[in-house]
Amino acid sequence: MTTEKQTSAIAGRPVPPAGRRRRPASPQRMRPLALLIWIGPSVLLIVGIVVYPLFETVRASFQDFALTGAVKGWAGFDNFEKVLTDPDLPRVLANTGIWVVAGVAVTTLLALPLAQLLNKDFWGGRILRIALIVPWAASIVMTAIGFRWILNYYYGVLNPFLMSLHIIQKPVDWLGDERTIGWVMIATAVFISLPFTAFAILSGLKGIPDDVNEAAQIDGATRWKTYRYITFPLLRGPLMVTVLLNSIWIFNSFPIIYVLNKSNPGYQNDTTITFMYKIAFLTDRDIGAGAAMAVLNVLIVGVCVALYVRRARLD
Amino acid sequence: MHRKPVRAAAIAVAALSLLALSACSASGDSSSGGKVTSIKFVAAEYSPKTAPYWDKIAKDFKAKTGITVDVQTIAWNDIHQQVSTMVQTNQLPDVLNLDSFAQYAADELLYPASEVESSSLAADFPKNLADSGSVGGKNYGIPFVGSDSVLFYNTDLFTQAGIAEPPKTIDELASDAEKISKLPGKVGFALSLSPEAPHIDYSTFMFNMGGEYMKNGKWTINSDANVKALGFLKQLTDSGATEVNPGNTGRVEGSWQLFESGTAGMVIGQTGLADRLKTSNIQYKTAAFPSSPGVTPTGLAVADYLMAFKKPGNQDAVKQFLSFAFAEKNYATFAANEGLLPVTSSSQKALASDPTLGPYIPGLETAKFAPVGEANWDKVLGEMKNSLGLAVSGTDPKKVLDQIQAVATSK
Amino acid sequence: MVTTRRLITSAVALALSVVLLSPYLVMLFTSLKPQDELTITPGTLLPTVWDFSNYVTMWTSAPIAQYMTNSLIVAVTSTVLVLLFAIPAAYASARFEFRGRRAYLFFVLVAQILAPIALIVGLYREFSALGLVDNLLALVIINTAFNLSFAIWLLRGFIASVPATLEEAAWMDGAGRGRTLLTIVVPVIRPGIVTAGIYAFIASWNEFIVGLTLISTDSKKPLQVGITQFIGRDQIEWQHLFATALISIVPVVILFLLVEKHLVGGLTEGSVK
Repeated sequence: MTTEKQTSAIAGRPVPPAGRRRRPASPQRMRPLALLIWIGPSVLLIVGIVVYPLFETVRASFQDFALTGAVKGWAGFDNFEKVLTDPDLPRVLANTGIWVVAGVAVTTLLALPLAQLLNKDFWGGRILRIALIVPWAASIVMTAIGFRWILNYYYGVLNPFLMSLHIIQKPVDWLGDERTIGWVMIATAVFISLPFTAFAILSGLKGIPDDVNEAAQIDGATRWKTYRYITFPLLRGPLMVTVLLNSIWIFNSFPIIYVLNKSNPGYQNDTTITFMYKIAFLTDRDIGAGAAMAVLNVLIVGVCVALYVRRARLD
Repeated sequence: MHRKPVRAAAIAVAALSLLALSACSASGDSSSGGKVTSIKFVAAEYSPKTAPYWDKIAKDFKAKTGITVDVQTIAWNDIHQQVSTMVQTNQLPDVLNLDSFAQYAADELLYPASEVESSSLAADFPKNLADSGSVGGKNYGIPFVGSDSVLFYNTDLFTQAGIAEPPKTIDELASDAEKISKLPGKVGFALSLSPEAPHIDYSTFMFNMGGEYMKNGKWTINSDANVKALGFLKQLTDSGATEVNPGNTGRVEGSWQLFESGTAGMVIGQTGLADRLKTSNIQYKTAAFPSSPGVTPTGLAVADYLMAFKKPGNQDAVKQFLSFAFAEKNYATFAANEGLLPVTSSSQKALASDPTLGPYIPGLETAKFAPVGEANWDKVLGEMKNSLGLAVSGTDPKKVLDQIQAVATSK
Repeated sequence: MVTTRRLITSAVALALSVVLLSPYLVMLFTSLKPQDELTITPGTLLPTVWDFSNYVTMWTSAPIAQYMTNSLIVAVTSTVLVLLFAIPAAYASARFEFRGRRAYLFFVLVAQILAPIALIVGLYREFSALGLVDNLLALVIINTAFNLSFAIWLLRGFIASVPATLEEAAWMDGAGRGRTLLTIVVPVIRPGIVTAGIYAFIASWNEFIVGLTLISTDSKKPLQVGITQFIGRDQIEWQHLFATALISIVPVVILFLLVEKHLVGGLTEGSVK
């Protein structure tokens, strides 16, 4: 994924490519002590609050837990074996893959034109921006409960609404029907991730110098061409960040699936995160197995992120 | 000198100091060997009235005895996870209000009920309720509030469908439900088998069709009678007599909601539903649940318990607190607030004439409990919650019950 | 012609706004319904009787104001801390050469993939060892830590997109790193800072599982934990639930309105100048 060197038609002046930093002229390397001030607090907090509990989780994954939650002893790899040989796991893994890929792809595809729209000046722009902040401002749990309320077969408003528009003939069991629940959950995830993504891309658009667009226009480029060859590549920075963050966030997302899928028995619609929670607290009530699943979750997303970062060559 | 980045050293120091901290992790409250003056009470949150109630009790208790009660009210949705976390980190409560106790008793974490009940309190429980809290013949769980399941039916819908009397047999229930479901936009029988609380509806049918959870101390979850009962529910669903998706319908926002809005003709309800229907204007009545020929009609008795955790020096404080919680004035207020049945004989006598709760009290005495005293009941229940609904959405009922039986008899 | 396009643009924007707000509008109308209108079949959108009393009773049926104050304290404090620590860290990792920079970035990224839900037991254990259970300070620390890594990554992405020409000029003039950061870089990446700040605030304001696990005293509960009491054992108080949920959106929207111009930047400002 190399960045093409963009040149404007005006005298071959290179347009600074996004994502490619130039080495600062400041010659000396950072002295370690000075570095401590810049990155020290972040390291300390992350090690202490994020990494340390991970050790605890790993430790728990090798322990044998009683139904009460008390530790009975060491379990070796039993917990991992139990989780990896669970007959529901393949389905859960497949669900997770679709969940993340579809969620991120649709979010990104919708956010790009939305950001373009937000970048314009027109009456109603402010209203749109405020409307856009609301799904982000609302707690995910509450939004999910709201959707649950709307989608209810008997007393939700979506069915009567769609029927009055003749889009559907009979009420649909959005949350209980295997064919629809998956898409409902993905749509909810997109709905919630859209604001952040759109604003992040918008911030990137704001950072593009005006003269870049002007230059392209003077050259006679169509709006689409301008977008495709000039604007879009310059959004690489924000896009890479949002795709990465959205993937991680959607992968780790618990409330959406939990709330919308709550009334469905079995594991057909679970992702690895809700599966982990169910094993630990709801069905098996086996903390050790839940911890093993948590470790697997970290490994899965860690490997994917590592591959992504290497491929994108963000160094 | 640049070879060893100071940054790496800093990280190592941070990590080490945190590991050191964890090594000397302090356990719960400090008691100096004598009696404690402060106890932790974890209560389940039934409604927004629960937390203020217990806070007030704690205040009154402190004024009376000088013992501080640290109250934690946790929503039902989250309390099991939270308690599990507490046990894991050795932050046990002193008194816990929960719907299961056998696993804590099995791990020898609890006082036997006799050691923390005053003699007058111990004598005040009806036998079936007191015994429901026993594990291996010894009482550990102290029943606190109870409910039994009865049939709720909408008299308007019955009239509209031309049904004069509530059903007395299971077959009548099926045919009545089918008749009502033919009314436009109505549901015959609102059945709830989603992971929220499927065992209530299922057990009610199962018991009344001659099924049992256990026989002679052995699990009989996949007995023929039980398979027949679950199969009956599948038939009921397939014939359209229930709402469209009972396997995916809960109780509180599902079957009870359908009944409250006048959409459903029949539902299995408890005192909580009656409390809820006070503000609705549907016309309804309750009746004993129908049963198969030769089976005495019964309901599923469900109780929530108080249990006391063994911690050095807290026995006396816990005993006092329990007596205070059950004290007439306090206890009656709690039951009234939450719309639940009190379980002591004395309070039941006092409530016998209450229009809302009174009618349920006799039923509680004859209702049957699920085997909550089995050490792995919580696990069996977890499996039931997760899979019972599958039986009405395409999976073979026998397979479902076989799976639950396997979980019950494993380990 | 331009006017028509503007009209269409405005129409599209308004339609999108309605779509984005639709679930919350439904929640709003539901919260204004009296009890007996809540769950009729088939569902209705608007109440036939408009009942505003829920917005009054919600404050008394549970200590909502107290919960909101708790959440506000935690969110504001942790957001300030996040920005304070993340901006220098992002700048250093974007612009400076140091041994282990790649490792640091990967380390920060690894932190991002760890979510509280999987780590909750370890967190509880750690904070009870520190004696900070049932203490809002714990929530501040944890929220700051978990929101740091994305803030660093987000800001680093923005900084990386900005050519270093101005900074180089400043260095030539002898300005120190810190000063360069404050006077030259920060104004340019302001939209990124605002985005990161809003994200941190919202994440902290809406955080649930850590608040649930660590806070036990009712008066210290954050809003998202306190609101769950409307989901009772036998009944869900939908009106209060939705009313409170909607009210909880208000502080965030206010915050957004205050910082909006930094986020959007004004069209005449625009570029890297």
